[in-house]
Amino acid sequence: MTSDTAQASALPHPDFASPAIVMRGVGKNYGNFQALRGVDLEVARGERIVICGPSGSGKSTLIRCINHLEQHDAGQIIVNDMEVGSELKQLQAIRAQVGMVFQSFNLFPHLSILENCILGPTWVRKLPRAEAEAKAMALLERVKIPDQANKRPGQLSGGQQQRVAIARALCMEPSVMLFDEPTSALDPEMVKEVLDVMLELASDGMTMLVVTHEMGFARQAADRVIFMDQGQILESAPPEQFFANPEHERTRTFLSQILH
Amino acid sequence: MSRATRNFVYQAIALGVALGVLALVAATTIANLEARGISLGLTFLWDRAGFTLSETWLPYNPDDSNIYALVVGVGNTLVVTALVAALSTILGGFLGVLRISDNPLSAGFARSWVEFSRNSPPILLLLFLYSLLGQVLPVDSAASLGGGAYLSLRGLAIPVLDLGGQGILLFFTLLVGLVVFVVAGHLASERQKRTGVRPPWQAIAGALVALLIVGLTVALSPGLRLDMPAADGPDIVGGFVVSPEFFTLIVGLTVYTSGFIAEIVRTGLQSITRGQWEAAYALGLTRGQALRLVIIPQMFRVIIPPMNSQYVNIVKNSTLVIAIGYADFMVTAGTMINRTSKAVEGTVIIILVYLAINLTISWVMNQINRSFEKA
Amino acid sequence: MSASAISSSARGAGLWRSLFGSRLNFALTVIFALLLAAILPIIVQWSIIDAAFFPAIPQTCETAAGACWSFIIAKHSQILFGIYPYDERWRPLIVCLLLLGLLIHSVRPTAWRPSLAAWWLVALTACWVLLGGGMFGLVEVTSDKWGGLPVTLILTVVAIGFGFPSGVLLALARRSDLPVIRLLATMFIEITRALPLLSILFIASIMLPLLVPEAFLPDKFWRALIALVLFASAYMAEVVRGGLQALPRGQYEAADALGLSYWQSRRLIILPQAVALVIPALTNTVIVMIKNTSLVLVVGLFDLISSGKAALADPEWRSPAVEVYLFITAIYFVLCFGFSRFADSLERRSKGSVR
Repeated sequence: MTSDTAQASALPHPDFASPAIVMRGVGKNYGNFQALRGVDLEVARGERIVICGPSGSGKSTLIRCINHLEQHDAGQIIVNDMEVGSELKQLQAIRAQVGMVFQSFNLFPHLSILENCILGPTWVRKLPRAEAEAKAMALLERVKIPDQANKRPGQLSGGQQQRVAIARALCMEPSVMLFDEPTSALDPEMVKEVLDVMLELASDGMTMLVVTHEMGFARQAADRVIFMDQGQILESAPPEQFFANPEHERTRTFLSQILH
Repeated sequence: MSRATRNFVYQAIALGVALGVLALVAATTIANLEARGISLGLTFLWDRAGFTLSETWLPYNPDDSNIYALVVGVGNTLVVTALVAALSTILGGFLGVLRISDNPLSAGFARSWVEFSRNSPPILLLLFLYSLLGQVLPVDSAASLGGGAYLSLRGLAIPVLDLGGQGILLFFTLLVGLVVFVVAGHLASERQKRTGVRPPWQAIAGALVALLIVGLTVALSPGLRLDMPAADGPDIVGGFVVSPEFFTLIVGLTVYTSGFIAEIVRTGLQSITRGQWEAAYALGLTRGQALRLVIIPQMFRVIIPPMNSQYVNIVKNSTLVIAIGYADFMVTAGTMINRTSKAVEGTVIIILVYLAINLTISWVMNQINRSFEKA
Repeated sequence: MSASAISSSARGAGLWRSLFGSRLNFALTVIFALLLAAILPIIVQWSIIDAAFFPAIPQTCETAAGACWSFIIAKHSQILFGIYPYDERWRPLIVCLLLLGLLIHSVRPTAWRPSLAAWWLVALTACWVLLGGGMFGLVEVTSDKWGGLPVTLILTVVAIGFGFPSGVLLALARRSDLPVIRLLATMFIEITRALPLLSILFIASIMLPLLVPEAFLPDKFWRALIALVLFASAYMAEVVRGGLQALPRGQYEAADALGLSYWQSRRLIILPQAVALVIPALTNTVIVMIKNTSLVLVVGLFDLISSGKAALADPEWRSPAVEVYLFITAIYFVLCFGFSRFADSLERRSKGSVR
């Protein structure tokens, strides 16, 4: 089920017929500050999107609205044909299908690694414990840290913790994975191990939205790169086109700042 | 002089000074004791106490020995401490959660309570409550509190189950029912682990036990007796009676301590980073599940050290009751010292007893802390 | 919609949602509104409508069904200043203001210079002279007539004034590398903190006559003061120790690397930072000490509460204990709450103005 290195041409193709996520006219305000303005986005099943932009551009807010960690004030967000709103049962169903990896990992410090991973499956998907543990161990193998299963998060390095966080999200068998700057809090030598896991996920055809500054990952794995500025999507293009020929001046400025 | 030598010299000096002062004090003390005809020794502990205590939880009369009087005093202190600790933890936990609610009325209420506890001396609160009781309660009758309880200048009386005859059957059924309830919960958790679905055994068991208790009460009611307090002027006959001093102490200390515990709970809850809530929600957990499985276990760890100090504070604040007239350990020991003039031994006993109580509390809290680490 | 329109209507909407938005909020609002509706009228009735105010004589209280504030109006001076001679009561008033000013001044890190210790000595001596009299043309008033608020403040200020430097020394001793010193300090701190203040007062009262030769025996007032200083020093020691522990190791190492001696590095670099770190906890300890001085009423000293109790003993009035205790509580509240608010605002201002 794994491929060794992920090249854009070797990745499975997204299925544009059935979109996983549809966002129409999405807006979000914090008091007077408009974090999102009229955002339209369609994410196809199996599509991998990298979102970049200067800080305050709304990129984190965008993906946090998808699983309702932030509540959008305007527009519609539809995930797997279910609308994201305040209705609790539907929200739980959506969250069970959308996995999220945070910048600060947010592992539960009072539980072991294994317990972190089986919490969701046993309490939300109501799996028997033995089955959940087997699935969790398989995923921990996949992120290459099965031997840490009984340790506490505090005993692991940052890179290891983030890989556990990815495994924890995958344990829920999501159809969409959201990544909110997954490597920004890591020491440089640990960034690669996390990106490798993400590349593998990408090559297996997972629908992914990744907010990141890691442009190497974008070049290797993304179907589309999106540039956001001041709450709006300014540019959206395949990586070759995005990096070689950005349309907007602001995109060019941003790229020149981060690609030095 | 090398560093090591200098350190040695400093410590030798410190030790020398400490021992020297100790020797000087000991010599003066012995001289003073001799001058007053007081001898050192612990045999006085078995002499007749000869003083009364206003109220006790263990049976006591002035013919008992000094050491038994001290034990009774410790018992008085421990009863107050345990009761206040239990009540104020519940109340304080509740207030702490209220404090961070977004409803301004409830948050304001909790905030006022906390500020009140912080900015008023506890002894004043006790005096205030005591005088309030004295002014508000009628002089020549007892105020009914409903449910058969009475409050008067003689004390608080509540009806209590008379355990003679069939009352004891009911009591045992209650105990057994409790055990069944807990076991059902345990079995349900085991089944959940195996299949993922939690069977409703605990709820069913709870309902059955409740039905059984009610049915048994009705069936046995001709033979059951409640020791009901009956008002006889200001006097109360029957029931379980506690003195107004005890009542004031419990209510006052609970109100006071709850404010501080509320702050501890609030700080504990707020110290859990938002990220933990978000990670729990992102997995699809409900608010209740997130609280129960992720937030509250973490909060417990954080609050155990400050809760430890609060419980120790309850022990210390229980000595304030001297202003109202309850006989806690301090009062008992003080009376004994005044009667026997055994100031030195008495002081040592006082220090040792309070140290023992506080060390026990710390040990218990440490065990609780450890059990969280294991889980 | 303009920006300001968004914020004000959003604020209004926010308040409505927090009061009635969810089922829980609605229930809470109803419960507390009912609670207020039940209690507030009774309180207002008792304390204002039916209350007795002027003229401040016993008859006014006997005819009134509510609170006897006339007693407070008539006797507030006795409650506040005890049995201090009536004509001289401006002197304890100045003492109170002086001591409060001293406490407020001392909380700010900018005031921490050696001259601060001098100010303390000057202020305390001034209080001594003002209260005692017998010089500078002031009528002499013996210490058994001192009482009320000045005594509370003097006890607090002296306990902190001597307790703080002792606490600093104890904290340093507890963190010392020398095991004997560390052991002695730890034992003192732990035992003192484990005991109720009342027992320390009691032990000081009964033990000092035995421990000290007759000639050196301090009177009631000094015995209580010694107990309070010991108590304060143990608590302050723990607070300062927290600051010493929170200070990054790099500060200690940089001081050593410069070649400073132990005492130099502590005095110039470590302590100023460590103490500044724990100002909130120190303010808290000041408030705790203000409240703790109320215990001296049990050993027979005349602080604010016992002055109140003494005032109640007047046979002409019907002993309005509740009103008196409410009055005293209000004074403590103003003192403690005011002090902590002031210290908070200082801290906020100092944080904002830095760099």
